[in-house]
Amino acid sequence: MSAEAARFLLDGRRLPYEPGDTVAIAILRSGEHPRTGGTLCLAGDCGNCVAEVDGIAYVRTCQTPARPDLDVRRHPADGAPAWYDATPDPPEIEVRREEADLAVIGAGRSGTAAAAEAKRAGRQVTLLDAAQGAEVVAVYAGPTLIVRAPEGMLHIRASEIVVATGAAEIHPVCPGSGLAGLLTARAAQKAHAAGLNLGSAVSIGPAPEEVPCTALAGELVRFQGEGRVSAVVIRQDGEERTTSCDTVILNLGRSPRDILSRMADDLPVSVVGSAAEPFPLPPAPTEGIVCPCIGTGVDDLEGVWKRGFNELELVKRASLSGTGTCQGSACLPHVRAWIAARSGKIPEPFTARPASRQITLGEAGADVYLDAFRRTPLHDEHLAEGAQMDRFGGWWRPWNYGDHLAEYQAVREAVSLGDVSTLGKFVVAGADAVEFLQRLYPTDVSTIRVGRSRYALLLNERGHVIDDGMICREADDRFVLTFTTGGAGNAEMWMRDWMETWGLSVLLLDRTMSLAAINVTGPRAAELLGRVGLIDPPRFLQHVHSELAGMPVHVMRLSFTGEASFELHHPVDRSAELWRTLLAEGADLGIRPHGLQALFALRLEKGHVIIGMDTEMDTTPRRLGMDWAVNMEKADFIGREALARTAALPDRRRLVGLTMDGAAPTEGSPIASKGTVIGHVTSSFTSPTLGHAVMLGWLKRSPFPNEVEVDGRRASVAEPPFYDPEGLRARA
Amino acid sequence: MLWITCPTCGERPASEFRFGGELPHVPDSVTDPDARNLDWVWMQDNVDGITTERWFHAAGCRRWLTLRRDTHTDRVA
Amino acid sequence: MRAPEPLPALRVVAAPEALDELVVPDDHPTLRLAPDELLVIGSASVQVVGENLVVDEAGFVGWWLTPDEVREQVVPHVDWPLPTARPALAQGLVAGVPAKLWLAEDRALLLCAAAYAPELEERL
Repeated sequence: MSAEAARFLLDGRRLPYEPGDTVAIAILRSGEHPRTGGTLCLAGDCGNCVAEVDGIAYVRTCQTPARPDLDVRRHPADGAPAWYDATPDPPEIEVRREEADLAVIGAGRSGTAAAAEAKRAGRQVTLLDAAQGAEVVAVYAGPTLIVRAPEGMLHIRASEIVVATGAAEIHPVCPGSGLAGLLTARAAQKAHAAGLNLGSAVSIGPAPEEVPCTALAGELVRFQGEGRVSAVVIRQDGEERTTSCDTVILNLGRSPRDILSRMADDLPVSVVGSAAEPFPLPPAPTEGIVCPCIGTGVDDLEGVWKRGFNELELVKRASLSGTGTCQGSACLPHVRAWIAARSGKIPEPFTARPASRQITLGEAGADVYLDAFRRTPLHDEHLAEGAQMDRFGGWWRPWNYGDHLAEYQAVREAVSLGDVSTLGKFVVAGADAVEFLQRLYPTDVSTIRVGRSRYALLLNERGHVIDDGMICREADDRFVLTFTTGGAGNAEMWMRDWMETWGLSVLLLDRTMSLAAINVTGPRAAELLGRVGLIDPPRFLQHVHSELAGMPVHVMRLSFTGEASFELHHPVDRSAELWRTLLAEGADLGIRPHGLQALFALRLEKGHVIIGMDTEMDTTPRRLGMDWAVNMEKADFIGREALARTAALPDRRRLVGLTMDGAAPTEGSPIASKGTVIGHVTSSFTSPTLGHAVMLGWLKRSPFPNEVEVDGRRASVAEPPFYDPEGLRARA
Repeated sequence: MLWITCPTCGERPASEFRFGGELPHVPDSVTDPDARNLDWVWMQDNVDGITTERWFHAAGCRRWLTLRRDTHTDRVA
Repeated sequence: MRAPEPLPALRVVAAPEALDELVVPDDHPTLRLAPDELLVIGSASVQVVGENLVVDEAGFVGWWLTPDEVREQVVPHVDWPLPTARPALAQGLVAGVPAKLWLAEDRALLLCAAAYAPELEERL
């Protein structure tokens, strides 16, 4: 080592330190404080020495060994430390998983004894100690211990856990407790051992061994000083006495360091040693800061108590004391004492929640998997076409291919492809298939002929719309159902639940991820399909099984875009082949694929709702103006009872179409009538075909006006569809 | 963490399941419309203690199961 | 993980009793996905008694693995206990992705819906 003392960076300047120093000791050695002040325990209990270390905030500097390459920045005296939008290069944090028989937390006297005894009894013991680099920060069911170690996170599933974490020292609560120069007894011993000059030191409570100081008898009243303590005031026999000093040593007693066991209600976790000792509470505080992490004062406790929060758990939540960096280590004994003085009863300590220490998001999320989003078999085709992909309903889908208006025009004027592989696709078969679907849907399924299909709503028992889709009849006892992309999973759960409930003879097969689907839509769609082998295209709401481009395809004629549309359902492993063939064959027809952005606009011009976007949790068919999709005359179905009972009641909500001159307002814009907000826009688009804005939106106050204001402009309620109201183009 | 035993797939963390709510003691409105009381549809018992619940093993067999759970301790009974 | 291979299969839905009695040629891994649902890997033909739905299934892809590969590449990504019997089917989240693991004495098949395969491939 060079003659020059080793240094680390403190607030940008180089601070020397001695071998063996922690960052906190090194800062104290320079005559400063790791924060602005406050009693230091130097044992990792309190939050009074936290600082930002190498870009991580709230690090306990008393537990951080000083190193030459450290970059330490003190937190601002007021407010939070700097927030970084993104940590450059967050380190990959490894998680190691271990099984243990008995895990002992704390390698002090009681922990070592408990471990030795268990070993003698033939048990396998894992001993964890923060000082030896295994800091337990949480106990979960399992029981599972979450441990922070230098090499990463450790998750230990143990049969049994012993908490032997010892006791923390009581902090003072009185005016001036935020000054520098205040140390607990054990902190004073550590500081003295490290060779720190404590100046003229006094102790409240017994003087700690080997630390030169004067013990003062009496009750602590307040600390005095500017920044650092210069005197302490104590009261004895009713008289206040002021003593000048440079350092005050607080030997006020101890409290169990039992936070990990308080996290483990109902788990096989026991507590031994001083962590289990019923230490006496300190005297009830009368003035000053109780919770140094949050800044909760005795006056704040009084405030929340007066408002009726007369229980420890409520006082904690209302005053926030105990919710800061140290999770109650400093304040809990005082809050309990304060409540005991108020209520005459000592409350049990509050339940602890993981984690007991600040851990980084990286540490908390290490080894946690993000949701997996599905990709259609055309994913790479979309990327090759320059698609901007986004997540919708659990899938990656193309939002646009760079020009959503050109995509829109291709549908309206030529032919276009849409990837609808994400739609829910189910086969229902069996002797009771019709009976099952009759109960499931509000439409009369028995009147759907083989080879035909019908649009249907799916209702819950409350009569609320939960999804929509097509019912295609393939045989007397066999149907293909489609559902929305985001609703498919729920629809499957819904159907399987009712299958069990009704005990009907029904078979259900989920083909959602087995079949891809391409929507061929536009005035030249039939022409394109003729080129790939669809000689006799189905008419509107018919469906056929056919061989197209050399593969089996289920062709469903329907329309969501307003133009003639053919949904081609086919095996996922041949989807890219079909997509490429269609694009190649349609090149001279002006074909181009369309993304969701164009699709949303196209269907909006037709007034077709998107479940979940235009609908709400409690949307009935009536509120959508879709009573035509409900057959109250047919046999009973889910939701019928609720619809029958509410049919006669007045309804103050309606989803309506709206038109407006000029550009469309943002989706979500408030809808106002005579200056009062009465609803909001759910979908909007500036239609190049119509030359004005079209919208869907909720009116939630009756009588429903015909003229409203959106975005400060006049809009008119108009019955959809806005485009091709007779539906001639879809049937062409 | 809550662990659930799926009769088809075995012991799995609850994160693999979708919660289907209390198994309501509701007369089926479709098969027995006359007996149905709207309160049963709208109201949940929300018991502090043992409830009978439906869970759907979404990440596995994709089937429902019925279990009894103590809502107080969040353990499968 | 390397790229998965396509797994042409047969998917059968029928009453549990009918599936219990179903005879499948020995060399085809047979995965009982649910009491009323079966996946037969490879191109086989089956005769099912009673009402049934049998379809050619192209929606799954998978990786044939050695027991060592399962231990080293899959087990670290599974939070739940693997079955000890052989052959056995395990279904659940693997690396956070819904997947299935068919375990035989000398080999194993990790499979998932093709829609999930890129995610699973990346995460393993």
